[in-house]
Amino acid sequence: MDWANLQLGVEAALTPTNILVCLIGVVIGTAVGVLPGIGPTATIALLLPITFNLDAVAALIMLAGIYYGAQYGGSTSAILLNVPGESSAAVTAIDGYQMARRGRAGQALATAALGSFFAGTVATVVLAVLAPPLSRAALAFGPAEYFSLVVLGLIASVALASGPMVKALAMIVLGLLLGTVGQDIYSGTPRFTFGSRELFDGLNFVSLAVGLFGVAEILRNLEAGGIARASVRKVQGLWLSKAELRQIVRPVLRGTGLGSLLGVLPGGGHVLASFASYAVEKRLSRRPETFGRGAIEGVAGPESANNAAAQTSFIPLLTLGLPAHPVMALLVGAFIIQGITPGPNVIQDEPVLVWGLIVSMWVGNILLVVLNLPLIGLWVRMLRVPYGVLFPAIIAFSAVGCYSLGLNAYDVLAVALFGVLGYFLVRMGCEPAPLLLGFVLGPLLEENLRRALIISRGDPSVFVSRPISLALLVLAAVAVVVAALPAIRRRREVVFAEDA
Amino acid sequence: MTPSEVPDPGLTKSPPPDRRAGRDPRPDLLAGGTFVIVGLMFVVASSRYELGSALQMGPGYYPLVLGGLLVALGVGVAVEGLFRRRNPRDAAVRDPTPAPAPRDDTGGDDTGGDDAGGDDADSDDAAGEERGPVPWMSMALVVAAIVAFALGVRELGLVPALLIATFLAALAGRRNAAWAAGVAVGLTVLCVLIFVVALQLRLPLVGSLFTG
Repeated sequence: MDWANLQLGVEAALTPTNILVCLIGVVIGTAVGVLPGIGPTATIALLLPITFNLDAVAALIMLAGIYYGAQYGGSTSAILLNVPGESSAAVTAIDGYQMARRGRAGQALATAALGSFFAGTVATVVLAVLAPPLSRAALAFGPAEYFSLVVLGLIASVALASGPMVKALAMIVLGLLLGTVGQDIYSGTPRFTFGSRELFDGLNFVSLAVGLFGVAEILRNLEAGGIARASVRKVQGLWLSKAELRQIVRPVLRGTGLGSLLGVLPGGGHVLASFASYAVEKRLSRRPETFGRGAIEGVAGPESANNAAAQTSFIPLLTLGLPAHPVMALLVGAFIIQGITPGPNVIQDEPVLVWGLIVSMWVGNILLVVLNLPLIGLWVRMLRVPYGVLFPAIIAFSAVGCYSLGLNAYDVLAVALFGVLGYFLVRMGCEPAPLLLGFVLGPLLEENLRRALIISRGDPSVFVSRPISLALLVLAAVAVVVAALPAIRRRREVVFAEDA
Repeated sequence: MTPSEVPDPGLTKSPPPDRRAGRDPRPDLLAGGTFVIVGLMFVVASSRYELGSALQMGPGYYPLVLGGLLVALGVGVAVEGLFRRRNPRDAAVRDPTPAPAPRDDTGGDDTGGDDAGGDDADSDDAAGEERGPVPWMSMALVVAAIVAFALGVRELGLVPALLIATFLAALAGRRNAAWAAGVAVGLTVLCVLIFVVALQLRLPLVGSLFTG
């Protein structure tokens, strides 16, 4: 670990402003995690324009806080309502809700919070240790390697995710195509702009994300006549007994390990991690029959795994500039809004930003324990906000947020357009997440493809003759094959169902 | 989440019918068709730009290739939709987790099916099948709300534009003008507090239409 930089990070993260934005981030994150019907992806997209006014470090700290805060919040509604507020909390709902039914909601919540805190802390250290060497290795990448890396990232995110793979691939290509709108990087020719000046800089990323994840989700909920609110179980007794603590130590440790490992994978490793951890705990348990009937290990393991993975999924973003899933893609957008090009250089060029972000995650984890345990009553009360009020608020925030970004009415109109588009795509069984990944990575893909071919004098074999590039492409091919195997296929069903 | 995660009163009593056996291919055909059309549009539009060669790609090269790829994938989506209908996956390929707990029958404390449509049942086979009809009226109101804000914010100013937008949006959830008006006033105040007072965004509260 790099102590000088770590110290830099501590200094950056512990300024009063940055502690405050971190707090704001995790509070908002917990709130959207608790509330079913709005997820971190839509929220972060919505708040991107607002963070424009903050400096880069504060903006990233806040957005990251929303993301891992939502992982915490998601478990609260999973336990109390059996409704995972966030896709990765679905496993927590199995045993967590059963614990709540047996009057042990407090213990379930405490287990989730403590497990998450421990996992978050360890994973932050993992991130701090692994990020610098990885980014140094990535510095040796040329355009060919980058092209192959982006291909791998896109394919792997689909392979690990849900839904028929052909549809997901088509959504990626659609995203890549939407990413070509605007001026061509090499010739300056405006492409697909219909002569409109507003489109010269391309489609607005925030409008796309807010429409696809925010508005489309609202339309889906309106199908069913909105989300019903439910009465919530009473919470009492947040303290764990010594016996219970002993019970959860091993699951937490194993979950943390699994999560840290799987989180690095493209495509939302955190959901995969919580399922894997649940399976492991059940297999190792001496009383597997208690699983599904309120086993505390079934909460401790997956919750730790999911939070560890949420933290380590920052590794590809910070070292390679490659977003592992839609939330990370939004953070790429945040980097770009702040005038920073994501990539292996970021760690060297912006040490305060990267290390400040890493340290802030640890600060955020402390804040989350404080928020989630004593303030649980507040979150529970928030579940009573009727959806009929919540969604007009989301629409108003989206509209004002997108307008404030560039005082451009077209950006707001685009929200409505992409909202309707996203709604119909989901109705046809196409998840919007791959589209967003494609849109974000599209320009990177094209630029590196063209640059690599210029360097190789138009010889396409450059992508397979360079060993690293070849290895990355082989991995991408393996991901496709593996995804077609039934054992993995059923796991894919869950991963991309980000309920943003 | 797969639908089986969410307690559904109908599914706990009898074993769930294999949805894929009677799988409706229409969403897939529609999706495939959409991809083919969009792909073709990009192909046609890109071919008007300079294509160049692999060595010196013009602006049209990359989108042309992608457009063609999208057409191919669209055909694939449609074909798979038809094929999978005749070839249902067996029930073993369902969910990695143990069977969900039976529905809590103490009543009143479970949100049940409503959320299934909204949040969770959006893995592949859920879409287009177990959903209600398209909420055309609500969708029109939501779109109208956003469009009204976009077109009105400059001339009318932030407050009037927000009032109109939130009123329309609230109507999308509940067709009750008085209730929607109340929600609109409350949310407008909230937005002004958040964006103008707290975040200091310099958006004129009242637009040029009123101030002259």
